[in-house]
Amino acid sequence: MTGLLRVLVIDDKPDLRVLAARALQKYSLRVDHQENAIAFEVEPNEHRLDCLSDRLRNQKPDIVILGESVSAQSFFGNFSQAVCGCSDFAVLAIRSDRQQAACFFSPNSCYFDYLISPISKDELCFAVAKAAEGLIRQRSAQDSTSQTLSLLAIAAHELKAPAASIEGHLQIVLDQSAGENKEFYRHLLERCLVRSQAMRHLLNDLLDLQTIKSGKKKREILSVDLVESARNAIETLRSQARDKNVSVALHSPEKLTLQATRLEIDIIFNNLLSNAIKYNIENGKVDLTLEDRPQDVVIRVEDTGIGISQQDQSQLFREFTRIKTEKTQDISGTGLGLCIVKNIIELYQGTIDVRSTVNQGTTFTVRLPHV
Amino acid sequence: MAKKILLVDDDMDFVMPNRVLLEQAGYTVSTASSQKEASAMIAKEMPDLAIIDIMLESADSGFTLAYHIKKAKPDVPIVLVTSVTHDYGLDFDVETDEERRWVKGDMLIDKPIRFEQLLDDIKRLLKE
Repeated sequence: MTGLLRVLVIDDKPDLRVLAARALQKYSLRVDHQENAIAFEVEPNEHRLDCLSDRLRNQKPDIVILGESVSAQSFFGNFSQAVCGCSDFAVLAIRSDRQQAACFFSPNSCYFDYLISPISKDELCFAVAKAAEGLIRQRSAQDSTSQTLSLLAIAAHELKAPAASIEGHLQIVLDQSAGENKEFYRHLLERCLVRSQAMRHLLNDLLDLQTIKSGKKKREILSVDLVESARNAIETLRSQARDKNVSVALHSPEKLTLQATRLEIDIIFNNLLSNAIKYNIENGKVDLTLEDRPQDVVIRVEDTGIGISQQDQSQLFREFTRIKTEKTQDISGTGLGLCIVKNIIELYQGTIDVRSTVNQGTTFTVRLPHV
Repeated sequence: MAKKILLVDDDMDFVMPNRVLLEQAGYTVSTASSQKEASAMIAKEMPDLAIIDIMLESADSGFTLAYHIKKAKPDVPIVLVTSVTHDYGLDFDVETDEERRWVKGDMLIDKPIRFEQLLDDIKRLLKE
């Protein structure tokens, strides 16, 4: 949401536009959960109803004020045409009496209110403020609903694939489709276990992401030793590194503290290190460097792995991003790890960036400011 | 002589058991995990039937592969398999001639697939 809302006045006479411009010129509004105060910009040119469709499409106003000369009938006709694909604005209609105002319709997707003329500057400001609040509420509800729905749809698909595999394997075992081949059945049951574990990891990651994004969980900020956290993560991933013969080296001062939540720091280290091992080559190397600077703490994870192409780098921090190449097809993952890491880092007003060369390796650099 | 089936999917949990069971049923099975790999295989030898997952390297790789097979040899039956269909707004099928003009497949099956059912369909398509 920008801090500036565009107001379009539609009337045959200039009076209403002049009034709105004067009233809203220095008017600003504080709205809950918005960082910046909202200011208003009144579109200075004259607008008539007959060019409403084009105006709404081209100028994308946030609030439309309709003068008395615009009748409900004419507005209705133009509005239903104009509203296609651009209903994301609020409407304020100036009417001469209540009955006339009631003739107006209020499309569900649009915030609507009316004022009885004659109107003062203060009345107009008050009505515009109400409209702005209604619009912001409506937009943020739409944003969070559509984000939740799309996350849910992708999550459902990601869970459907392993669920289908498990179901298929169990059906084969139940039908005894392979005759007496006990070894084969055993292998299928082992695969069921692997796929159900992957589903559990995905569910855990989804819950983590949901908790971070909702901002509802109480965060306990303490003095956390990043060196200790890094050592724990290396220890946790030791067997994974051993399987691939990847060596992990830590370069850090003896102690490095940051005001943070322990669990969040652990998630950052675990995800970055786990990726650096998973996407490494056999006998590869991972260097984890921690650096304390006056303004911030730098965490650098450098690997000698398969690397990420320039095109794939731009997708890296999105939900359910898994880079599909011949080299990654046997590597398991939920596609949520880096997205979770990025969301956590944003809680600290920190940054994460990636540099990578295909077949040479990748470096992730995290900067977390000292409070 | 055993009929040749090409099985294309990037999910090893689909490829592995179906390969074993189809071989057990008397077919010669070759497998590929991508459109690219499968294209190289069909350039050398065309199968008698292909089972192709729709989403491979990209969301529609399976359609492209099916198109190339049908273009080179229209009488090769193609079974398209997927776990992403109507539930996700992807509205396609191979039931009518009109649909088959766009989607080059003889059958479309939703995963999970029951092997006995798949085997019956393969036999029917191969006129066995």
